[in-house]
Amino acid sequence: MSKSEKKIVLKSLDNEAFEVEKAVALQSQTIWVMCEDKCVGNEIPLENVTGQILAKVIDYCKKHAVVDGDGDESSEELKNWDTEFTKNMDQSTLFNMILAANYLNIKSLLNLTCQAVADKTKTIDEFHTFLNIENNFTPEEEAQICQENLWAFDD
Amino acid sequence: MDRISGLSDELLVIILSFLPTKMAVSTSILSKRWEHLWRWLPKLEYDDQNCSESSQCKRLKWFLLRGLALHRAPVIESLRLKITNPYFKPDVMRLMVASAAFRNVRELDIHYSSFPGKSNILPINFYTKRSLVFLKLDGGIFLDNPDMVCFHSLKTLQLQGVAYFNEETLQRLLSSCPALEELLVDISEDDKMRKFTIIVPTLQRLSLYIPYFYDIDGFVIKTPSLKYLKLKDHNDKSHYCLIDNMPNLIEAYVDVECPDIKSLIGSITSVKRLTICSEALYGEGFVFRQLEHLKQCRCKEFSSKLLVSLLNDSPKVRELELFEMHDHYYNGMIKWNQPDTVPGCILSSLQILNWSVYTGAPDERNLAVYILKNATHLKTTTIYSEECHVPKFEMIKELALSSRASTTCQLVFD
Repeated sequence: MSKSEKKIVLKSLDNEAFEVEKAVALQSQTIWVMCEDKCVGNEIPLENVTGQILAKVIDYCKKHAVVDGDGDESSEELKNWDTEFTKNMDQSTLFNMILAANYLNIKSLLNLTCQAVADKTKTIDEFHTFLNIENNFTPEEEAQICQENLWAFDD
Repeated sequence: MDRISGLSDELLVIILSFLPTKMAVSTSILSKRWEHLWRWLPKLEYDDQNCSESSQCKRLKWFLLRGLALHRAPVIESLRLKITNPYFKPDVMRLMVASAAFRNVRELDIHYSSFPGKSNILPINFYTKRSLVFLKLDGGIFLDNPDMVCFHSLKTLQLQGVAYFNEETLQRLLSSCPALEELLVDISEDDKMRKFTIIVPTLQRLSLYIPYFYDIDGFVIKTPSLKYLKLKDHNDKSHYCLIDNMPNLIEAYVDVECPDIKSLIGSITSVKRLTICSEALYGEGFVFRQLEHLKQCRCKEFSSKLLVSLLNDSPKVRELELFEMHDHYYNGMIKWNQPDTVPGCILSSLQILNWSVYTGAPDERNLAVYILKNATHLKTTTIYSEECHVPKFEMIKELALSSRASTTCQLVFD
């Protein structure tokens, strides 16, 4: 395989191009399927992901490709890297990462980003605020649900 | 509009699955979209440890009965129930298990304390679940499986302190698990079955605990595919222990009080790693051809006799560790009589000696000096000592100045 065949170009929604090692990109099941499809050339258009998010996804895949390849780097080190990776992401970035991980079908990244939402919201109020959910219940409906799941609202 | 509207319900359920179950349920109050989302959770974990008042127990009971019956996920990946309050009667538990079985539960983990006796909490429909992969039953649970049992997919079974209807119950259950790979059985002190049998052709890992206060005639184990064995038999009364050969066994952890360990030793000779504590000796005619890592607990006064036997019968031991098993007590009073001939592995293969709980008592020191003097290939010797019979400095000096067969051997004190 020549050097160029080992690399592929990922093109974001806003036309940003990223040249990456194939082994890095193939962690995405979606890209893997696209590569299997011979009609697609060396450039893969990803219509659902912006360049800003794609850059982060590629960072994640690079880190995990290296470690998986080595097999020697400690899983502890990788776990710490994962924690740092999502630690300072704001709500909007995190949600876009979840959408990207889902679209690109990278299961470990999907779990990591969903876990990060849970980690940032230790109480139901924090969860409510972080996810910015608008309550559309009437007070009566709310009381009814509260009654049905009374145990969950025990302190 | 919610900023999370872009996330599908499936993605929101994944987020919910990382929250504690109780908090996930409380999201039902956030908005109409969230009202039933938690019902799709694949993993559920409930316990009654915060239910200090009966009103709280009542709420949990009511919620569990309704919540499990109305759950929407087509498959419950796992359900963990930890119920210790007498408010939860066996019939309530049966209903919950029946609901989980109806939802094709894959992993079921129940800890239940029933009062006063042990109760049958497994409904009939549960015993034919093809979906079940993992089952753990812990506590006041009475097992009386019907004739029509078949756990086709069950890979892991853990039975801790449960009671069995009779001496055939356990084996009847096991023979209904054609794919079983991992089994843990902790016999309860008040168990009434005096003998039992474990025959599982597919089993790869077995952990068996037999308590001291338990009237036992004996047990039979036939697990030809086993790779890992952990046997804690603390019953020192004479009982039979018939174990068939396990040619694929790689690792064994053996902590036994019984006076006759011949059958046991004969069945584990293929191991690469052995951790052992026993006062008994096994006689002659056994060879551990693969054994490379040997760990021996020092708590028995005559443990050195067993050690010499094991070293004599294990030509490839590279690493020897002398330690104290968890919950065992070592008082530093071991006896050491130098054998007539040096065990072959000490002369030709021993590279690492780790000795924790070293006290520096004369017999211990003699054993340490003996190994250092004869182990030609020893690379490192690490000695950990806390309480000392002799001052630490003296102890270090004695060993550091003793003659060593291996010129490159490092001696490390910790």
